[in-house]
Amino acid sequence: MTWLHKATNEIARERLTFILVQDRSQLSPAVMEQMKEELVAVIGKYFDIDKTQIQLSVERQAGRQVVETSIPINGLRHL
Amino acid sequence: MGRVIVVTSGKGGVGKTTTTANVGGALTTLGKKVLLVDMDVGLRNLDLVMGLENRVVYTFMDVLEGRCTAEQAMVKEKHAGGALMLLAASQLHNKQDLDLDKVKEAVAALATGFDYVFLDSPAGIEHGFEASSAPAEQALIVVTPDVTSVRDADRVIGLLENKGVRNCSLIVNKYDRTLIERKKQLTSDDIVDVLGTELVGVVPEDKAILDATNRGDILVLSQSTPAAAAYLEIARRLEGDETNFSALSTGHSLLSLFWRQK
Repeated sequence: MTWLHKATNEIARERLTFILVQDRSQLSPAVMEQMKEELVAVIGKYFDIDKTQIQLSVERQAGRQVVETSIPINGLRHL
Repeated sequence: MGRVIVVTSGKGGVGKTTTTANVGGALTTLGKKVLLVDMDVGLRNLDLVMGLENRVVYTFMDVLEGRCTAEQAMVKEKHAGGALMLLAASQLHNKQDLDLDKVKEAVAALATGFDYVFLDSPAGIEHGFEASSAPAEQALIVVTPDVTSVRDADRVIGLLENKGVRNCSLIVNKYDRTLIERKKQLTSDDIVDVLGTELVGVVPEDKAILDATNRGDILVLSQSTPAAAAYLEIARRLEGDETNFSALSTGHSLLSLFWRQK
């Protein structure tokens, strides 16, 4: 293990986080992408957003599933 | 009326049966009366882990199908002075033979005579798991620090929630601090975070477990080792006591150095 490589437990955590979104939502990566596109279309009407940084997760909170999205804003649209 | 708890994991080989035997055994040291039910019909093992394989005459299936009374089928563990009882699984039936309504009814009746009833679930999410979780009000999810076990645990927790078993907590098993220090193993924090489920125990990798299983002794009733200490902590937590997770503490006590050498 050198400084060039990421620790394998960190890789494990990232892979798990990714796969559990699919398992919990029962949506395929393709459908997930489509949902992101649609979110971009709607939110993008009102905000100038960074499409490359959108994050979507399905979390377990107090015994129920919660969809969380994070969409960074570059700026406001002056409507 | 005792608490009915299912011990499950999704994935096989993570230590459900060993955990069931030891958490049950640990609770008897706190003065509790405990019944362990092996729900792995066709592949029973709890009897072997407890060293009771030669004493099993009747099984839980015999009780369900009216061939004997529960009292006739229960086998007494050797060291717990009658506080720890086993109901073995049938080797002659299939998991499909477990009738959910009958299981629920029988477990409810059994729970009146104990403080705790643990249902040791088979691996998988099929009928055996269904039958083990149907009567339970609470679940202990045994998970090892690897991606496959954590993924399966997540699936199982989701299924339990759908069934209304919302009181789920995690036992992280086979925890290896050396691997954690080398950043080669998921930490218990990682697992708790990813699964969004509370932690009730961290059991360190401990060779004494293998020795105890070889002999047919329940570790927590026969030796003081790091894993035995972890099982006792789980028992105390189940009893509402907020104890430390000794497997996570960074200090190397003299006692733990001694344990390491064994």
